[in-house]
Amino acid sequence: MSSLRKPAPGPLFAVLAVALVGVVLVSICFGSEWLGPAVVLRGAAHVAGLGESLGHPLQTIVELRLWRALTAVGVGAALGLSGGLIQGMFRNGLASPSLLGVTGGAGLGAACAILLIGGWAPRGVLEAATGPGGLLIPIFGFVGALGTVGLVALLASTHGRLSVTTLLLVGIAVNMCIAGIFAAIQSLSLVDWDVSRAIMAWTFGTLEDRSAVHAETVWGGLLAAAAVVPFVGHELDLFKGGEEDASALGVSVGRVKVLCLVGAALSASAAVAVAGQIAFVGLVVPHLVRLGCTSRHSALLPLCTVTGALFLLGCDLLQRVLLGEGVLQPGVMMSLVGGPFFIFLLIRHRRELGAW
Amino acid sequence: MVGALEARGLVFEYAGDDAGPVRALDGVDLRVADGELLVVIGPNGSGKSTLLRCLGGLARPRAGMVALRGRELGAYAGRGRAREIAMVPQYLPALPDVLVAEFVMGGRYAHLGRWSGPAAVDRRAVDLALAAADVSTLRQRLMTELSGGQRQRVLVARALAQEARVFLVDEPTASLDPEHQIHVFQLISRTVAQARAAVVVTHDLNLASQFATRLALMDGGRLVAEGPVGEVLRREVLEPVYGSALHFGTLRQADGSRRPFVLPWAGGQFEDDSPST
Amino acid sequence: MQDRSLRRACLLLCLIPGLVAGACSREAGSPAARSAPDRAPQLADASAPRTAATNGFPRDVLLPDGSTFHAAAPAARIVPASATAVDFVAALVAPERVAGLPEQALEYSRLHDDALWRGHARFRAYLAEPVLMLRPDLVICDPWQARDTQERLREAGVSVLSLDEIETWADARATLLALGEVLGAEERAREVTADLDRRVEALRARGAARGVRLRVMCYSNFGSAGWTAGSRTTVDEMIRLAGMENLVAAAGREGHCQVTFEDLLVFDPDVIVVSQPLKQESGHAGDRGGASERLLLSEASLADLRAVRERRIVSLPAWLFAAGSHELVSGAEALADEVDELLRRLAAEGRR
Repeated sequence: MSSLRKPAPGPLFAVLAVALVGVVLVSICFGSEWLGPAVVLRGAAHVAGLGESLGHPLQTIVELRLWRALTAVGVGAALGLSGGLIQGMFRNGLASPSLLGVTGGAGLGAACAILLIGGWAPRGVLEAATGPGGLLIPIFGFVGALGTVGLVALLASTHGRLSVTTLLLVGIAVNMCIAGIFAAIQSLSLVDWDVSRAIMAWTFGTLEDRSAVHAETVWGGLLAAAAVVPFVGHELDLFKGGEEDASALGVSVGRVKVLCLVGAALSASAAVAVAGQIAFVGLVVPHLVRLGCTSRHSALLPLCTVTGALFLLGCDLLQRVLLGEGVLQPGVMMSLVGGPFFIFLLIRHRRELGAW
Repeated sequence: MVGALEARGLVFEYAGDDAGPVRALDGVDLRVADGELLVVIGPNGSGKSTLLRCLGGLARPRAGMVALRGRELGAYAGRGRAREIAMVPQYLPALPDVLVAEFVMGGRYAHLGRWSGPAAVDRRAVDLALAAADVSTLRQRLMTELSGGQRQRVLVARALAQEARVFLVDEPTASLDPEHQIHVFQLISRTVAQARAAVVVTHDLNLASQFATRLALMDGGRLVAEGPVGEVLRREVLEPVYGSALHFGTLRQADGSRRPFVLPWAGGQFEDDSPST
Repeated sequence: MQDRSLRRACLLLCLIPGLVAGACSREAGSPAARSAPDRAPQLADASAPRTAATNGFPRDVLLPDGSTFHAAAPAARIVPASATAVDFVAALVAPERVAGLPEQALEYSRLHDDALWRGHARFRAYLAEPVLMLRPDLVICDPWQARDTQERLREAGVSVLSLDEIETWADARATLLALGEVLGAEERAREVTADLDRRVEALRARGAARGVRLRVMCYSNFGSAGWTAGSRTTVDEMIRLAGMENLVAAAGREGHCQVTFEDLLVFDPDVIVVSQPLKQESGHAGDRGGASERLLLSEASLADLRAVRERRIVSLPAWLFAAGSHELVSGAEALADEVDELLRRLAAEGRR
């Protein structure tokens, strides 16, 4: 048994949620200039329809930071949840949302959108493209991500049954194809400096300059995935003995797999479409929860959301405090902090790691 | 009397190599009633495990049908079927982080509501199951810490917790020492005595002889013999299937009945203290 | 049995890299032996006769970065490999002395729409083979361009001049003069430099006459991140020459860096400079500011920014926006023109 008693899921969730609110507040206060909590709360109240505006530009700045923080929370939670669902479905601790082709597909979609914005399309298409404006990229990214997952799922299902191992292999193959197309787009667009820089910047991920719509999109994906959790939480625990054993116990295995896939795809697609490629969260957060608290999915999955949000926002805040704004992409601090921490956890819990 | 579980004309194929599809089951008819412990024996590759999976609804046969209490198995929803049929698999992958009590509670899945956790009735069922399988003292242990015999009994406990009336057990004694082998079969026997039906697949002809109500012998996907123990465990029946390195004898039971035993032994002969007395 | 053969195979695998490394080091050991005199390549036989000793050639020219470039003769088949190189060469020599032009970089150079130079051969990628096909005797490139290609060209007997990084007008001026020496066009270089000096002086006067020192920043955003230029960039120099202040440099930022909407709100620039789209982006004919301007005007959180409200956005043609040569003076002039036009419009509307 582990040397320390693990905390109970319920209280842990409450503690993490409270911590998250605190970090969100600090994250909004911090920026090119420190705004006190009072100012921030008044600005946020105005957004909610209560209270007066702080005037220009303070109100706009508070709102920018607010959407940034809410987007970061949504992205971290969505990626954490997606990772938990995927690792539960694959019964493999190395699985992450990018396996399904979400990241690759979103990248391809975003690149196409940037090409459109840069003017590399016939006139009629271009006029249509100005409609959504800055939202063109998230829209294309979302469609690209979901489309890729759909393709992977389609190729991996025979006679209407989804095979998990085939899903893994097809995901890898499709990812390679997409990476090839993406590389081709990148090299062909080198002639236009602005476009190629924009495509490259997207792949690094960004939480800057997010708007209300970005936050709404990612929270929409998150809530859609969260709706899946009651239907798969208990069932994923029974998956540990194998799909056949779960079926013998009465679990409708096919439905659980489809729900997990849909939930994971929606949340990861929304997250990547809105914030670009942020690695590491989907892979590491479920492990952190498993090692720190429980592997029962009905508790693991909710904890993954709040842990993912705290992890992403916390690392982002740390990065901004230590290095200043916009110096490094969001994923870097997480890899620098999370990587060694993850190794430390793995070493401490070597014995428990058996099947995972 | 409507059999608890009945199979008619089961055919199961899987895609083989260039030679074409392989028939694991080639037209099998079977029935088992409440209170019966049907033991299925046969050499490796005779289709025993496939038969069990078809009976449990885990594999869809190419032809034929399985009926549970008169209704076709396919008509049952997953949970409904799990409330009627419990499978005890041969082995499960390593389950770190899972306590015995949690594992056995997994058997209650078919009875749980979606939005509520385990209720008092579920906890009672788990307690009873653990007690019946004689593993109550192990309830707070991790699954990975159990010995072979303990794990087998916990698997049976989970099936008991399902409160199903039909048990399908796959090779329960494969890796157990003799004492535990008998314990597990005794447990299954006790369960059957409470108006349940059980189909047990095993290699062990002698355990089959001790505990079975009826025996079914399979070979090459077909049922080649079926009936009471004394009729099936005979040289004429077993030799074509298992070969000739078998010695036969009988043991007298406490209740006066005689049960045959089969000893796989190359060469050798029984001496004077012949077991037939 | 299998164990031993496996061991032998592994040993062999370990030896192979060693052998390869040995072979490579022998080749690399004598680079000098492989260069010009012995391997006078068939490719570089210039169709134009080269006089053995022209006025002042061969000569060693001191480049602005302190290194020395040996010019054997005035180059007759010059290949400029970057937009900056094209600008310099176009200013110094006649079209007849240029063997070929870089197709992609051309868009960002002075020659992007010049009829005089249409007939020249183009090469698509800066690789040794396509460049060598032009039979050059001198290749001029930027410091960040592929080292491998430079090495291959030198090995093939072609002189390669790598320009130094240009950040200021002074750098550009010094490079122009040095190149003039290399190409045997000192006279022309002096003329061009004198003309540029006059133009820079005129800009200074305009800036003084303008009265107000405007706070300007450049901005580029194609949907994924906002970029601007701080100090030590040519855009910064352009703004300075035009008599304005680059507020991003004043805020202490260096080089090309990202900038968020919040930064824009805090900076509150007087004027934002964006790049016009490249020529082939015809989808938005008449939309001068391109994607960056569209984004500035459509983004909700920037609606109250003074520069957006009063349309204080000017655009420069892409090739000037990215000018890395002496053409940054042209860029400064274009910027000054645009800004003066903007100020006139604002004055007419009753604003300052």
